[in-house]
Amino acid sequence: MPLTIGGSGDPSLLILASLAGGPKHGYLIMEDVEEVAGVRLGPGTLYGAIARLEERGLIEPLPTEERRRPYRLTASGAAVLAEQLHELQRVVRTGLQRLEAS
Amino acid sequence: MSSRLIRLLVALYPRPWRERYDAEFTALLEDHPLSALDVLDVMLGAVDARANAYLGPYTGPIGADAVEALIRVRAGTLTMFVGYVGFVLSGLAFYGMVDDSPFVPLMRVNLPLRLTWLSVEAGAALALLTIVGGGIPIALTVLRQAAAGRRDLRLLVAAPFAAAVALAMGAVIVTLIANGSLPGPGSLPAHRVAVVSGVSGLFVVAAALSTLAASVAVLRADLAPRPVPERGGPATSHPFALAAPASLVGTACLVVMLASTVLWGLLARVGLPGAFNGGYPDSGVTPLHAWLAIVGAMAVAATVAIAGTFQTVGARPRRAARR
Repeated sequence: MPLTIGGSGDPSLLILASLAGGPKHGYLIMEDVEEVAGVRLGPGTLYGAIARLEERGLIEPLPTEERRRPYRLTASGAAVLAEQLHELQRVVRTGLQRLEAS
Repeated sequence: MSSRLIRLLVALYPRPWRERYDAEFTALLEDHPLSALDVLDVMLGAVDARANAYLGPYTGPIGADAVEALIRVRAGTLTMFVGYVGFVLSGLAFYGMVDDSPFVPLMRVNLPLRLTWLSVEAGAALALLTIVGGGIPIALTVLRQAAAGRRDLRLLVAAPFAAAVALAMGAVIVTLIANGSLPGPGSLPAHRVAVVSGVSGLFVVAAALSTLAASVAVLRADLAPRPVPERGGPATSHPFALAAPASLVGTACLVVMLASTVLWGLLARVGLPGAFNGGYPDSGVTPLHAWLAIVGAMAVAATVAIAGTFQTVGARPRRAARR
């Protein structure tokens, strides 16, 4: 599956948003995403997205801690996340304005 | 969840992926209870990982080792494809030899002979599915670039269709001549055999030219993965992602078909020795000679396919260079 960042339920966007709060390993990302977005990422989905994000240089691994490897956002990852969130914000704002106008 | 099942699940992922994520992924699976949906999710993740070749963490532009590996994969894939086409032509000759022959009624009563024939048919169907499945991403990439304005690719892509149209027209003309609708030697047996042989030869030439055109199109197309760190499509997935498994399965089918064809001939010779060693009335070619030629051609084609598959499977980017 190609990486497409652009929807609020997209695993890659959710992972980037989770890592914006600081480095986390896989299990913590799953818990954080479930708590914040109400979306439970399966292990296969989570690591599929992590592999793609790492391939593209949007996140990077930190030294392993007891078999768990934390990840953090790179500068590119932060820029992509900001851009995507602003895009989502624009869509939300436009939708709300149209609702209020109707 | 048992560690054995977890090991099995992780083993579904491709080797390069496991080399990178095995320890932490296994730890994640061991550290929290997995539901049936989680297991399904892990299995789908393995399919995803195999469909999108993992080439390693992003390190800037695509590494030279990865590009070299892709070049080797492309060469191996095309070699396997050439072997496959050669095998298909040999298989069609085998079908032509058996079709409407005394061996057909023999296969109805001789179970081992029928099983070898069915094995050839099953192998042919599976090999075709595999080659088409593995080739679709490559074909789509070439077609997209042809549609985007690559004139050289348009001409190369059109070549197989032009060859098919020319061959169909030739076959119609030959049929009309054989039926006496057009002037010609008509139904004289010797001439009919010559005409059929000529059409068969044209078919082989058309197939060879089409294969050559398709191979050159793949060689000329831009099939390298693109590093796109900021946005857009996948950074390192490429149209040869399925080439290795498709080549492996396809070549295994060819080997099985070759073995079945050999066995078929040996059984047919025992079951109907007179017909197998005797000649066809029109041509003088015996089924024995035809079978030997077909088996020889199949063996050469299978060897080419095996060589290509070894090259494809062996061409993996060196992991250390990507880190």
